[in-house]
Amino acid sequence: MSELRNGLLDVPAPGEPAAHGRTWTTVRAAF
Amino acid sequence: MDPLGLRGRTSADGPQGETRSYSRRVGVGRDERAWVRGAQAGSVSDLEALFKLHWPRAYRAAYLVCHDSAAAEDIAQEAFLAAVRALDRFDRRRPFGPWLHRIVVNRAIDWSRARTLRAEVELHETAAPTETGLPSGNSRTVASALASLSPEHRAVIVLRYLLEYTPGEIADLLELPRGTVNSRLRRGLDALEPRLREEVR
Repeated sequence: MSELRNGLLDVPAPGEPAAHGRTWTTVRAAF
Repeated sequence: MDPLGLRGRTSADGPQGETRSYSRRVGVGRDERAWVRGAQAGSVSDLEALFKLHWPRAYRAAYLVCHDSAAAEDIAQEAFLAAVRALDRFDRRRPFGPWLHRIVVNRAIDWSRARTLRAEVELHETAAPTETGLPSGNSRTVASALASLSPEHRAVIVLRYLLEYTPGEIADLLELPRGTVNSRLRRGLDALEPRLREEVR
């Protein structure tokens, strides 16, 4: 199953870096 | 050909036949407990450490279930906001991941069901990987095959093979009977196998 797991890990997730920054800003503000 | 080694597997199988608990597998330890404790005491840096540890997998899990980047961002964000709101009540003896993943995956399933009901065009983003210059090959094959499953089946596959929960843990997270989880895993793998074989030909 390592190929399946690697495939799941490698599937491009569009917008991930930008979403990371936006989400942290929102979470930080709510803290 | 058995491109992903699916043949002969059972729903109880998993990466390396893993049977250890989530905490042991992902190495939840003193660092995470200390970060939870620190965040509960108001430490932004400890909250950020928790966020950096857990957000990428939470986002990826949401994305793989709903196949919509905007929805995945909303879902992962709402899960973390729920975590922040409930932080005071969180039992730091327990791992943070399962608690977060429960919210993420259940919301991703709900979102996907709602989209199906709205009869919107599904999975348009999964056709994009090679167009965007992002990785292709095995990851594209997996994305395409996963997209053929229902949200419920995608969810158990993601929980099992991305987040590495045992079927019993998945049953707890989704509040489903263990037999239902096993059935969805088996059906999901059965549906994935021919598509994956076809695509690597």
